[in-house]
Amino acid sequence: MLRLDNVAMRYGGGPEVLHDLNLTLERGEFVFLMGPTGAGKSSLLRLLGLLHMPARGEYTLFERNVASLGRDELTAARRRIGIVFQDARLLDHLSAYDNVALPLRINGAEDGQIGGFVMEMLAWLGLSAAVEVKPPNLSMGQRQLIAVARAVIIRPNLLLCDEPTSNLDSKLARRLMHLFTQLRKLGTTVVLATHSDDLVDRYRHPVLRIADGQLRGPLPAPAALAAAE
Amino acid sequence: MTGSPALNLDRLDLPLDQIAVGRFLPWIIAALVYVAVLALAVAAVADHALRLYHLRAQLVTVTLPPAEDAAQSSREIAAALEMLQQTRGVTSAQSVPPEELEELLKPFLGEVGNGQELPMPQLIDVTLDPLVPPDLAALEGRLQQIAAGATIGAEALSRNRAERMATFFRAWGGGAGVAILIGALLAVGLITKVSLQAQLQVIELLRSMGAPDAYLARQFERYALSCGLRGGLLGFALAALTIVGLLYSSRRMELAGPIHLDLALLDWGLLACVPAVCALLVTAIARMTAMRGLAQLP
Repeated sequence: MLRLDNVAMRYGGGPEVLHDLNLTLERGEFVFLMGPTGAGKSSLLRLLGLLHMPARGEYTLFERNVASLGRDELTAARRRIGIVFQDARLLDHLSAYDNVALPLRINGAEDGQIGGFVMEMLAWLGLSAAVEVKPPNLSMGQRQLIAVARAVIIRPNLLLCDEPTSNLDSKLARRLMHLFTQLRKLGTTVVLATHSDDLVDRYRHPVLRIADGQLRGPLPAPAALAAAE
Repeated sequence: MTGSPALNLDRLDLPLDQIAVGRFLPWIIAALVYVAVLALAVAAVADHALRLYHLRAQLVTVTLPPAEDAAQSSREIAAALEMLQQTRGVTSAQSVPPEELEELLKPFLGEVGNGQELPMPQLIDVTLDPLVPPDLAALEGRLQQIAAGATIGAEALSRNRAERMATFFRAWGGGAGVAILIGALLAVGLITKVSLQAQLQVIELLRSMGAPDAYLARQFERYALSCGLRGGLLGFALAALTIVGLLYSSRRMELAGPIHLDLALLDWGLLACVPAVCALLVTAIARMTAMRGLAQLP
């Protein structure tokens, strides 16, 4: 479903921040992405999420070389991807409800069709009381949950999460991990960037290690944790 | 969940009204529409006045000096009428009855005793064909052969000056109005460009969810339409009040002499179209600018 062959990435005319990336992920696969701060985790997620094009090499997503995609095809491919940004990136002028409903509306869904769906998602995340609240009036944890809800509500084929549990208590973090696991069972490929050894140890999904813009793995979780030590 | 993206009319995904230039957009449009409507109103008033001047220019009054007796007066009047009616460019010539002349003079002279006490001039109302106006100086010469001292009152000099001024105001008012509206479009284009740059992160977020350029451009378009309508209506309302005030003052002060400066109903209708046209044009400009800007983004 996703394959990188000797892919490199750079911002503008700057140096390569990622290079010689080789990776294959199948449908329904779940991997953690680990590495020190500044190693390139967020850049890799941007590349996988089609927010940045490879400077060289070949990135194949949904059976298509992304370099060959036209503007409309890129848009269509992005609609199959859910991204949870590290800083949540909620729209402060919209309510929690409207933030979560955003991808559905962009996909052309009518308001009448999505109400129940969005409310159900917010209720499941314990945010029923915050439906009309705007992000500046929510806690960091609540903002993070809304960002996750927004990413998964379209039931994406590829889910990219940048530290989604970093602002959550352990109970909520477990709940989110349960949600991701359920999505994986439905066929979503999940890439979750984290600094948390505990999370990796608990869920035992394979680990991609990134350092100095280069990727290793997927490694089995114990080996990856041992290598980190 | 496929099909064309929907866009709630009351909700914009891009917070365009929360950045400084976006907040001022309705006020900028209001100010420009206000000035444009005033300029176009000046042009319309000048045009209206010109039409009245042209209409008045078709009517001239021939004055024959008082005759020694009624018989001579009748002869002179008859000869003058016959000559005038045969002149090319004269549509009609009609003598003003003495009773009407007395009525005209009554406010100035009081009761004049059936016109017997004062020698009264004899007047002929002449209508000219505006397409082939006769040579008034030559006509006056021929009238003087019939009745020595006959004159044609054309008020030529003052009317000529007023007409030139009206022509000037019509040209510059119309030109300035159009130029200001073009300025409004340029301002909207510039503000859209700046807003687009200011919203790059949100645009990237929406794109990451699969928002096509048309969806994003529609946000700018919708905002521009809303600002254009609000600003345009405000600008028009203020301009209408100003115009009514100015027209009222001009009448009170008799700025244009015997001509009443006024706006016809049709002119008011056309001026009322300015905010609507402006709103549609700024919407189109916003969309075009946004589409072009988005196409340049990676």
